[in-house]
Amino acid sequence: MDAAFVQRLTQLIAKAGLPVVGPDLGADVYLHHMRVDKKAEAGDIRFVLIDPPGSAIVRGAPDTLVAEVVQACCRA
Amino acid sequence: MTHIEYVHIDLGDRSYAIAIGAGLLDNASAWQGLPKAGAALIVTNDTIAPLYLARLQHSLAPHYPVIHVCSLPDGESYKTWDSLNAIFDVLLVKACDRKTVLFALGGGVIGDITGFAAACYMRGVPFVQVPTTLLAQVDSSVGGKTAINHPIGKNMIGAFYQPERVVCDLATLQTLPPRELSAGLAEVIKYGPIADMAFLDWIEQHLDDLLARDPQALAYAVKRSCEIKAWVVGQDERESGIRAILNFGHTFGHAIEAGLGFGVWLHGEAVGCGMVMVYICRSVWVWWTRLLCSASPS
Repeated sequence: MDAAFVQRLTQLIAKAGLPVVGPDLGADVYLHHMRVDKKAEAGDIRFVLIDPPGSAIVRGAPDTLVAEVVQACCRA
Repeated sequence: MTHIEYVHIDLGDRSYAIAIGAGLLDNASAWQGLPKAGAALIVTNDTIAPLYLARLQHSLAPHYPVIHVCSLPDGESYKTWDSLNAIFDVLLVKACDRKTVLFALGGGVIGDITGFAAACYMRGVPFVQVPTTLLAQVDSSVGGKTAINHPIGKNMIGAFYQPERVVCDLATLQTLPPRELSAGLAEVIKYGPIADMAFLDWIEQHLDDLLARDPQALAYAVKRSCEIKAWVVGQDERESGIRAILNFGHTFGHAIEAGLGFGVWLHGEAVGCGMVMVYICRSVWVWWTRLLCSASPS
């Protein structure tokens, strides 16, 4: 997954008529709901990641990282 | 007679076929060979019923002496205990026996709740998925995940329970609101990055055709999506491993749906956004890359 692929995927999703910016719920609300996700294990929030394009893996992520993502991509 | 394409879900004695074609609601061959019973129950919603209920009743009439109907309000906010109970009320008031076949006529909400009702009623009755939205045809009707929402989390109460058949009438996509069409495209796009980059290339080349509802483009998108889902589900029916990749975009997506209140954003909208939220800023990529390299396999 590189910058060019992220840009390509973002453009395709936007062109399909879909939002690419998340609602600003605040990091706490996101973290709260992600922790009850069925993929969560022992409170660890898990994400499906593309690696490399055309295949995917599942990885856990620390709360600080998830909070950073939320702050970076939600509408201010 | 319209052409029917089939995709097979290979799960041993729970195997079944997805029938894909335009006009299947009225195509007698799509409805042959289903489990026999004294009664069927069609579960649908108040938006879909005026459009397609009479046609499904007509096609099922030669096979079931009695056809009951339960029409629920439309929308994700009704994927609840109350709606599930409304289905059980009809089944019990009409004295339906354990051979009764349930038909889910509608989108993902109707498919999920009807499947869960079928899994529970008398410890399990057969059911058939008749998806009428793009999202349901390419994703939610295939693979046997059934559930209702809990206020605390999406799809938290449910069961793995496979249908007898999935019947995708592509002509129903012509009446879909534009917002629902886009929502379905999110799940179509999802299959590219997780499994098939050639399919992603095809989607990019044919996105205008898909948005214009070109029948041939929609037919290929539905068939290829179902093939990929069948390939994944066939390896891991109960999501102990690879099936989790189908949740690309869903960790953020489910949080958006629950955080805003179910039904404010469509599921597909939240998933579309969720797929790119994970990769939104450069400092985060550094983190992800480190995680990819260091974290233990799962």
